[in-house]
Amino acid sequence: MNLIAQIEELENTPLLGTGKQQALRLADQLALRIDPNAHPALALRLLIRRFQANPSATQTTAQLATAEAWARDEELTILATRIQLLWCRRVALTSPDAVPLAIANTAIELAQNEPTLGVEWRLAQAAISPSKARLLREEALTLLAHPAEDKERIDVHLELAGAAKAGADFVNAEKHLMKAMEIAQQHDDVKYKAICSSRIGLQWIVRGRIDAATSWLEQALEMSKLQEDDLQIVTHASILSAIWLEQSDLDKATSTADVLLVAGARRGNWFAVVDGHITRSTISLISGDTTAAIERLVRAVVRLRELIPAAAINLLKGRLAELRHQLGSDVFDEHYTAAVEAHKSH
Amino acid sequence: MAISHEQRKKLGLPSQDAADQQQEQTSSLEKIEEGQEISPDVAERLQPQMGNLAVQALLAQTQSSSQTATGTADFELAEEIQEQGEEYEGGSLDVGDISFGGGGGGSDDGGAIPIEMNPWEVEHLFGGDDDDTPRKPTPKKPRRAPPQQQSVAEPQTDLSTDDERLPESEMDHIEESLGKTPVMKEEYRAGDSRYRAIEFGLQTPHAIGRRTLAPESMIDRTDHLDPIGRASAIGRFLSNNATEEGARTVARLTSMPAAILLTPSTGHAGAAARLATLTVCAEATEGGATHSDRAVAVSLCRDAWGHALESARKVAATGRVVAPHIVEAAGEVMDESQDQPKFHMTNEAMAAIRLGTQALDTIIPTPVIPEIPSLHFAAPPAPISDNPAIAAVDAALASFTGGASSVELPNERVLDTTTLQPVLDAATALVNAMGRAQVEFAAATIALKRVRPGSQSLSILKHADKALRQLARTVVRQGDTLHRARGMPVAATGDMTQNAIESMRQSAQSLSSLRQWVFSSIAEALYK
Repeated sequence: MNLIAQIEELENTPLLGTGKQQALRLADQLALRIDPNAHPALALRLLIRRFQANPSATQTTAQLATAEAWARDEELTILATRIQLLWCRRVALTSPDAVPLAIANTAIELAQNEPTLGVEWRLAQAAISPSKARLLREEALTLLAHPAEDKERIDVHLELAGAAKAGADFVNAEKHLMKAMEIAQQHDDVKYKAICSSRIGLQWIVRGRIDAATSWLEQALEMSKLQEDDLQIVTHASILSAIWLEQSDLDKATSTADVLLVAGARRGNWFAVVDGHITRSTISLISGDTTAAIERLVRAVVRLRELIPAAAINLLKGRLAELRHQLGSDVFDEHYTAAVEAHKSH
Repeated sequence: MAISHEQRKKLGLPSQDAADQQQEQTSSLEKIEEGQEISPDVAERLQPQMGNLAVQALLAQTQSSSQTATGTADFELAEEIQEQGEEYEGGSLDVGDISFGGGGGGSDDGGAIPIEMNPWEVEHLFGGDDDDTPRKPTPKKPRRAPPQQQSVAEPQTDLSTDDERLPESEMDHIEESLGKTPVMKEEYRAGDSRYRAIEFGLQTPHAIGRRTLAPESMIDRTDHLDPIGRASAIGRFLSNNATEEGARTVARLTSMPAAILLTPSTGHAGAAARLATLTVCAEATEGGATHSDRAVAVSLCRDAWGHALESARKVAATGRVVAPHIVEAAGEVMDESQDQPKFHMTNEAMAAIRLGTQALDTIIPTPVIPEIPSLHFAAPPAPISDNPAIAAVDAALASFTGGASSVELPNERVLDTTTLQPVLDAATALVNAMGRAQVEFAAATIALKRVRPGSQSLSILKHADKALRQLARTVVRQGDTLHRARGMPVAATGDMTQNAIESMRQSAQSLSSLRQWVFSSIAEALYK
């Protein structure tokens, strides 16, 4: 297979699930085989595909600026314009003020006369013109027909969902999230399945529908565990442990709180660790083991006091004071003494 | 009426006579030929004039200039103002011929502002003794109630009601048995423990432990020093301003805490822990570590504006309501070292600075920068009909109804007071907005100093002060030009009136740009 055919294969491979891994492997192989001086256009197409696979990586965004200058030097105008539009869209989504509007508008004008750039200019303009964003993104969706563009389709659906949610249009937000989820499931892409299920679940929480939220959040937690994404684990475990407590499902509450303790400590989110301890203490209390409920909090204070923010320790102390008030000072002090003894014997 | 003269004096503005003299001098200066030697006094007069024009030109440029590939136009503006300021005016704050504040209308006590007025306000800038129509006195504005003054550094106040509060003895017992909580060592601050904006709400265990947790009473809690209110306040800020959709989504949960997060079984302390966890998660999803955390902390410095306003009232007695003086009057130290703002940033830093700028916008009330209206003349007389009979009837009607003689020429259009006054009022409001900007910049600096003590912003305030003076000078000059044209035939003024109005409009736009630049520069100072 010649280089052109291989680049086309790369461009036709979906950047989701296992397809993404294949595409990145192929890109690495091709990077070694393509001579940039002999085939600048192919090298640039390779760079573009790599960027599309991992747009959030800092180095890929920085590479685009160099790639654009190179494309201009080689007089590859369409590729240069495409790169500019990709860069503008990416930067506008995170730092709208950093996009040079004159450059973006010039690139958009050029692209409007180039049928192969219909998606790129619409998405770039949507990122810099919020008032026209919804229409432009919906138009872009109709042009994204090839399975190789499914990652782009998910991103556009997520952007549309975000905009709809910001306008309190939960119905449309959910519609776009479900479409994104559907595509992610087709490709069995764990990362996007986690994102979609998390956003759907959190949206139901905001709307007060715990029954609808729970299964989505459970799914998001499982996906986060698969990816070893501690930040997402902490977020979902904190909410789910409260849900399980509220539903008196103490087994699930216990296992979720344990997950929270570990992931929180790995992240350095000490409030999550305290949250986990308070949940576990509450479970002990509900189970009738008052001494264990107090001992857990005391142990946490004693062990963590030098290592974590005073604010987090204050939460544990505050909870102990609440328990003393709730149980009565005599009962509390009795269990407290037993808890201190148990801690010493540990 | 001598108001105008008095007020001009208090503002440090040149009097109208002086302005005329200056104009004459300017005219003579324009006649200086290349290579001709100029005397020191002429050079002294020429120098600020050059600085003025240079800064003015730079500020005007920003209205049309678009952003460039290396950064925003605001950053370039700042860079150029800095260069020009250093080149033409040096760094001293004492050079200006315009000072803000102390307005209020020629009171007998030497011009101290009436207590009801904002410290930057002047009521009447243009006109004076020769005004033919007396001005209506402006009704005094009721003084705003002093804002709640709670600094982030001040000890936390327990705002719970008696029903909710735990008896002191419960907490004291726990504190006695477990001992005081030590402060975490800075070297342990890694990972998500760098997000510490939430911690100010959890400084004492007394505020955390409560008798009960009633979720319905927590939903609209807004106090940023309350354990749950602070999480809500951060959630509200991030749900509207975070760059990352994931951060906005999580922040939305805590902004009006979802009932499920406030599970009664874990008590008030458990709910506070959960909200603190999710607050840190939202900040971590946004990224930016300490940088974005400082921006979040700035968004909670709600008392900065109130303190700036109060300090501005104090310094108004001196007639120099300028940002550095206001900041010092608020008890903050202005560092004298010459900090040099950096203008070339990575995209990540730009996102964090953007968050900081939005935090400042959140805590400082949005000003109204007035629009300068066009001159509106009475409609011109209808053209004479081509039909001689109709023309004769029109002439007869005009003669009977308006007393106009059919043989006289129509009245010449003149610039009367009624026509000019809306523009002059808008110019006065614009100068007031510039005075208010000094207090806004001071408030932003106070917030900066409270979140990051020792951070430097003096050079930003110096440049802003210079630019504001130049802008105010421009507006006052153009207002004077219009005022002097009062009574003149419109035909004789040519483009002069339109040019004056355009110049004022440009100054208004420049004020907007300057405000944006100062806020983003102060946000940038959070990170240096």
